Amino acid sequence: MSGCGEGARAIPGPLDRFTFPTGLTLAPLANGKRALVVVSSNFDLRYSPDGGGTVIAVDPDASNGDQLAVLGAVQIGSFGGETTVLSGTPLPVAADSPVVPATCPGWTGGNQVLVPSRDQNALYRVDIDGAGALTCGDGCKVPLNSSLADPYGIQITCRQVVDPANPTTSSLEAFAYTSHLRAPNNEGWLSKLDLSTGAVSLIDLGPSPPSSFAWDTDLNRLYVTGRFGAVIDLAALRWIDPLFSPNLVHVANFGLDVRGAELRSIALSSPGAGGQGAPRRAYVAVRLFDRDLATDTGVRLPDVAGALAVIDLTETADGAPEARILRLVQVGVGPNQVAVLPRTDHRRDVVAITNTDEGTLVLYDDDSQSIATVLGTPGATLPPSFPNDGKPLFGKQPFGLASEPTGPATRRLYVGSFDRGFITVLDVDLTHPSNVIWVRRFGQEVPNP
Amino acid sequence: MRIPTRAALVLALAAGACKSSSAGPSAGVSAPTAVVAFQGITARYTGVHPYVAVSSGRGGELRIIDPTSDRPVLGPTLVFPLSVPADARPLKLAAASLGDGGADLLAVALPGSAGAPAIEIVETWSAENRIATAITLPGLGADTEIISLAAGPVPGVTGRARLVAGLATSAGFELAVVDVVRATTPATTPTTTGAVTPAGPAALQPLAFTPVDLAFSPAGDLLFVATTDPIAGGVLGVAQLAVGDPATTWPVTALDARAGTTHVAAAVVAERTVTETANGVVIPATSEKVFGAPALRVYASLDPAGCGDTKPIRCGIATLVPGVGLAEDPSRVVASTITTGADSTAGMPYRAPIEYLGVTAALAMAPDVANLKAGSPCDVGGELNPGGPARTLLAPPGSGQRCTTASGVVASSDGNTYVMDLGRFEIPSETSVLVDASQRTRVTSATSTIPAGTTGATLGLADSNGQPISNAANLAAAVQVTPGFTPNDTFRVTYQGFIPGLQSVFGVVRRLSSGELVLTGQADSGSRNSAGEVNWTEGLRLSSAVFSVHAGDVTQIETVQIGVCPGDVASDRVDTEVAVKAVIAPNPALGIPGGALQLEVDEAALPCFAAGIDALPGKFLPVQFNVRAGGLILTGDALGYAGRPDLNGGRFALEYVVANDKSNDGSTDRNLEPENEPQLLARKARRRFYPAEYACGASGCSGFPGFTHALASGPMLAFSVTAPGTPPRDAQLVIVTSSGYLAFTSRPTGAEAPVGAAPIDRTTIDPNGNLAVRWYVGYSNDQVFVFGPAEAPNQAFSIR
Repeated sequence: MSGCGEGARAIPGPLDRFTFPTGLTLAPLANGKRALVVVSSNFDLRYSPDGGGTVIAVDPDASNGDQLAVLGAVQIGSFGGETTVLSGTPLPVAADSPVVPATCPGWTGGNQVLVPSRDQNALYRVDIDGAGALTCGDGCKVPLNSSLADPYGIQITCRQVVDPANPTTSSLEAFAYTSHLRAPNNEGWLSKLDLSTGAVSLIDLGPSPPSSFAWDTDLNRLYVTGRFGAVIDLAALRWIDPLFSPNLVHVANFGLDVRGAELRSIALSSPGAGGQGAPRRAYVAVRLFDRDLATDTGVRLPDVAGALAVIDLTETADGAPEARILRLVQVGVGPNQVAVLPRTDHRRDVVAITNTDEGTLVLYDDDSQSIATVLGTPGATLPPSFPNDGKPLFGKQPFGLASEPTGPATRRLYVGSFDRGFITVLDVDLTHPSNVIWVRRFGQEVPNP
Repeated sequence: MRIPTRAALVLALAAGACKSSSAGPSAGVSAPTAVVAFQGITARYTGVHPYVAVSSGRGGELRIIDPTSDRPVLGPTLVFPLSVPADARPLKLAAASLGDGGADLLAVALPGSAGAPAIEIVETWSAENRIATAITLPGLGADTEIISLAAGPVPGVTGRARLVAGLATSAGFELAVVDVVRATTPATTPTTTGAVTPAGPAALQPLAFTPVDLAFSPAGDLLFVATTDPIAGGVLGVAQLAVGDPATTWPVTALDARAGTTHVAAAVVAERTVTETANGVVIPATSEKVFGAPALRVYASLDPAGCGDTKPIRCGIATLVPGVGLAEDPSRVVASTITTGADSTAGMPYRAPIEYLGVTAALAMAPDVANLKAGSPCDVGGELNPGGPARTLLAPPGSGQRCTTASGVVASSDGNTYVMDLGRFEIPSETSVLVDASQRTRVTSATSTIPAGTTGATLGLADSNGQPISNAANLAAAVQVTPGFTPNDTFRVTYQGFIPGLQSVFGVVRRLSSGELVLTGQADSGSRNSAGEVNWTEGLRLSSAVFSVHAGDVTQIETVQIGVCPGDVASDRVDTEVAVKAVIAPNPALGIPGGALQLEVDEAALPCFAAGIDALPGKFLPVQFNVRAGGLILTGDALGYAGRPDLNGGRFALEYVVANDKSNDGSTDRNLEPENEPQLLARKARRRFYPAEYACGASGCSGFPGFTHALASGPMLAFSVTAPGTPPRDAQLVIVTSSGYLAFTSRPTGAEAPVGAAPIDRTTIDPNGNLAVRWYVGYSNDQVFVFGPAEAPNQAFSIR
């Protein structure tokens, strides 16, 4: 472990284990297969800052216990953040499962894993082939504006655009947006990468740095959450309507509705959830800090609580979402990643939230408007045979989330343990989301102190 | 004995820390999820005493607070607070008396973690204070979710209480109902003496809606269910169930609240009346302290998805009458009994919700106070009418003490706990709404300006006789405002001003297949249908009443694609003003899914926007545009569009009109079409609160000309705009208003995310004290905030 006064290490990040994993995602491969892609952040800088982070693609079905079925792996800069896969191919799923659309329909370039590195202030475009092999060659590392820092969130937006002058031809407009957690004067900035040309531009969001994204494919609207930025009572959900005004940023502030709030991860309700024509909703992880102390000191001190905000996105006459909090569901300290587990029976979604500080995963059922279950509490077990090896269900600090359908009403969840470096696999019965089955765990446990 | 907490409080404050109850043991509340008051036995005292149970979410346990000392009940070691371990993270609590003077039922609901969720009964009848037993939920397994939980008495039966849980099961939504009884068999151990045990397995009843929250009537004969779903007949509001045998289905009556509901509570309340009887004659009430007979009322938080400025009801706590629906607005009684010649059907047909900021986290009602000290300000037979229910005292620090018949609290996501005066259906104001001229509802300023560099007439106002006011300093006096209706806002009367929401927005000008040239708020999605036509993405709904564009309004259009129009250059983009000929409703078949503004255009003079468009593929042109009113427009910085006063056209009033306020017709501001403009304005002009002061006499209310009674209806804003000639564009009259209202709230330092609230009647603890009700409000940041509505703010403290 790196100690005080010790210089930066030159050891590259290991490619056979996860070290402080952050982003998780699933990537389509050839022949109906898929890979679980895990970003390791090298958070403790045990390995080299510029090559200590990794992206590892594994076969999640063939990985078990300490054994990882690694399909591909590359080193990247440290402090990797959220991740996504650029692909024109839908994720392969079982025949009776709902379709998981491609992240970029129409993309004909090779598949790529996109992940920002905070240490390198860069966005990595890692090629992933049909077998899951990863390569980071020329053009893989895209440097971002040097006046900004800490790129973390990532979102792909894609749409086909007809040439108005020649309506028989169309082209793909594909961008990757990255959020910068730090910038001068606590301003919020996005980097916008044109995935076709490689050009990078900037979008000024105004006060407070951004965190995470969600993309509404139906309305072509990009949502981005806002972190604490020294502006008390500003908890901003911002959005951009590229179709109408690509450079105009709209803001809904929840800082007065929710005292001491900071927004983190966001997920949108699935299309059709709540029935035909039901308004879309956003599910946002909300960190709650002591607002009085922050006012007195100007410093955002550690969290005191956390919640899931259920936000109404009904379209208004203004052509904007209502952006109004319907419910604030207390989920404990440290909510981090949010994932929507769509149902296929038009009921509202099940929402999974990792609670990093408390070591739990909360499943909230938006149809019954109640918490279906809290997983990871001490002593809790899961069927059929959660191993009694003394380890908490999620190790310590559950963080990243990925999911895939495994049937018409079941969803498989992959939960990364940031501190312990392994992945817990669970199956959720979406008909009865309190019904959760432990599947397996894989990845060597990292004995961090 | 009451532990002196003030010394500790002083120490805590001196240390710069949050207030806490004492230097004694921490209560160890860790991420509270629910709070409930109950009567029971602990090691702290012999016999039954009041306590507060707090579910500790992170700790998976309950903690018990002794409200006498405001310290935790200690565990067997007498060092650490007692922990009542639950089998999982407790989510909900409910308690009820069995009506026999013994220990209460205290139940805790646990989510499923390794199987079915559970409801467990806490041993309140002995100092063991452990989980005693689990309720059997027949046939319910891991597929069940407990949504809500409530407990209440069984009508007319002592030694029995009723527990109800709202469930989501594989069969849909259900109620699980179980009665609990006092154990009557001889005790086998001391801890089973007086035990509360299930009388049998739970009975299940189907529900056709989500039981988001539950509340029994105080008598236990009715169960109220808050739900965001339509109830019988599509009614949105509260479901009222007539409680009967648990094994039989309880009949449902839908109480229409004009929106769904998320929290519910019930209380017997004597409400303020606007008349009283003197010598057998009905006369106007002579003060705000005249109350009617106590009656059951239901209070429900309205679903934020269905309430608001332009929705069927404003947001807040709705007051409902069992079996009826929304309670009536007193202004109609005022009109029919007090105001000579007034239209008794003109006021709102339903009572305005009790408003607050944020989203409801908890809603609770205070109990009747049992033993208020004789001679105290709010004693029965004292200041208020004798013979009514016990009184309680509220003391908004800014406006002095008041007595009322019942109170409650709503804890909000904004960190505040708002205290409600149920007797006067309001959250008391810290300021004087009617009396104090420096604070009350008023126009704080009214000024008139014209843009620099322009010439023309300045906008003015006329007095009540229609005569223009010559002294600008007197403009404010010419604006009529109404307590309870007029908000804090900055209103602007602007000549040819921008329509709110239609400034620097994007859309397209296009030629319809029917030939009209129109402006829309839509965009090319980038895709084409099978016929090669544009698939439009709807943006602004220009036909909505939210904008209320009128024929004769003016569009200002500029292209966003340089080079499309002849001679178009980037430095000269605002190129065209075109009048609106008509507002066209949405018509997807015509390719205007969001409606359109037909342009009154001289096509020959506008080659770009007319003939030029026909040469473009798809005959459309992306544009950026503004829309201005053709004449005067009234806007509020907060309220938005507020109407179209006529210049020199007499009195304009932004006021509630009952005929225009349709009930829940499913409309949203997006589908409010042009003909709905009166509805939109009526909804915006609805009442926001009820002034608690009286301060009015036979000649009306001082300072409010034409206003006859504190609870009468009136315009949000009324005036007559004059000008000696044509004003220049953007000539503006700015009217700044103040509601005069400041809600009475309490919150601890570091208050984040309240989760539950429970009242304690202090007179049961200290009959000789001056305190009535004290509230225990759980906050998820590991504290229970304790305050009394009748206490000074600095007497509030937190237990951690």
